[in-house]
Amino acid sequence: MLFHPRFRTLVDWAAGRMAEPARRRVSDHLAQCDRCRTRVARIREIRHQAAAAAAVELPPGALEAVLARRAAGNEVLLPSDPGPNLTRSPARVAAGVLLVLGVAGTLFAAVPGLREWLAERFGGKAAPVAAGVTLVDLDRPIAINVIDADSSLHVRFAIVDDSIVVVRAEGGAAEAVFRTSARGVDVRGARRGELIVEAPRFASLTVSINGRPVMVLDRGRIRLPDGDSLLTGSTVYLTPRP
Amino acid sequence: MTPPPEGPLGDPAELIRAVSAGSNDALGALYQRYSGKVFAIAYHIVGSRAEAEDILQDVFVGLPRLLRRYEDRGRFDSWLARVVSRTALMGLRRAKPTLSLPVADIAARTEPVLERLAVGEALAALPLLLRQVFLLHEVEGYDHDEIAEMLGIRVGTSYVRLHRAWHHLRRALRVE
Repeated sequence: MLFHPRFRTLVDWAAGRMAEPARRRVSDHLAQCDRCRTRVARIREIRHQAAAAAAVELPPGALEAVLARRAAGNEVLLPSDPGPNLTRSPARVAAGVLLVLGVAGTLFAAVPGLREWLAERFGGKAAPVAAGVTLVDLDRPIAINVIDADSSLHVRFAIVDDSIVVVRAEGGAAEAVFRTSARGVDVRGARRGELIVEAPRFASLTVSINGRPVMVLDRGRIRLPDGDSLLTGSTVYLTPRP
Repeated sequence: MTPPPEGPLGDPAELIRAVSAGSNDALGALYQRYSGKVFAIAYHIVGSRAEAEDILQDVFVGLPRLLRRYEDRGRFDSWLARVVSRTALMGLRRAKPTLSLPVADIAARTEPVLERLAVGEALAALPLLLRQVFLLHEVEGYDHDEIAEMLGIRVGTSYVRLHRAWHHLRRALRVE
């Protein structure tokens, strides 16, 4: 090796996460280079000291606190396991894209009217996402906007142990149109009936009716416009003013 | 890490079944086995001892319910690490973390104090996103695939953050 290895290469070498033959080349270089040997020694020292500096001891009494909370009926809804992430490598991404393209091509050929439906859908005319139900992955605070709701619409708020926010309408409100966006979901034209929002305890979201915020879920509590705060798991019926 | 208890609760599958059925003894055994890892992961992600303690408690209060839906598709500790990291990340989204590296604990140990304080301060000065990856990788020993799963980032991002963290440390500690 004519040049000194880069610092990051020495970090990888010192951690033993370098494959042959690169590892061998670096080893050969280190055998004859005092400067790089000193660097490797320093890297190991920093790693060792970092482990010591970041070491934490378990807080005393935590298990007793856990058991006491359970005995008191305290419930915590944890985020569910996301499962293996399939978008981690370029090969997997490419395989996923090919799969989606294949399925889309097959659908175009097999389903009559799909092309027209898509043209209508992306031409700006709204359509329900899935028969009055929409799911929003919870990776940011979201907003649920109910637009053009009349005064008979009720909104029920339920806490579930999942990491997806579910918004669905029942009764006449099920005719409403759901539109998802990066920020959440718009429900348009909801009429008499009930709008049900199911969200995990850890969700952070705002429900607005006709542009007016009516409920905020944050840090496990539901806040109402009048300042009242309810524990999660509560059911709230709201009647928007016309 | 505390060794697993003797008897039927030493079997992980049996332990999980018992916890999901509501057994406090089994929950205690699970705590003995995994609490250290849970606390460390939470602490490395949120950077606050108090927040990490809240997460530790929340995880073990919520586990019995969550385990009812647990499917044995891989290593339990990997599954638990993902649950802990998601819980910690959700907490981070709600509040800005504060850093509280245990400097007092550091000073109490027997190795050269000044050197460790310097490394501790350099660590504390790292941006949170870089420190998370650095500590999970270099201290806890997770590989980049696992860190990507835990933090919801790409594997390449984990690599980049690790090397940026090393770059910061190198400058802060004046490694020639």
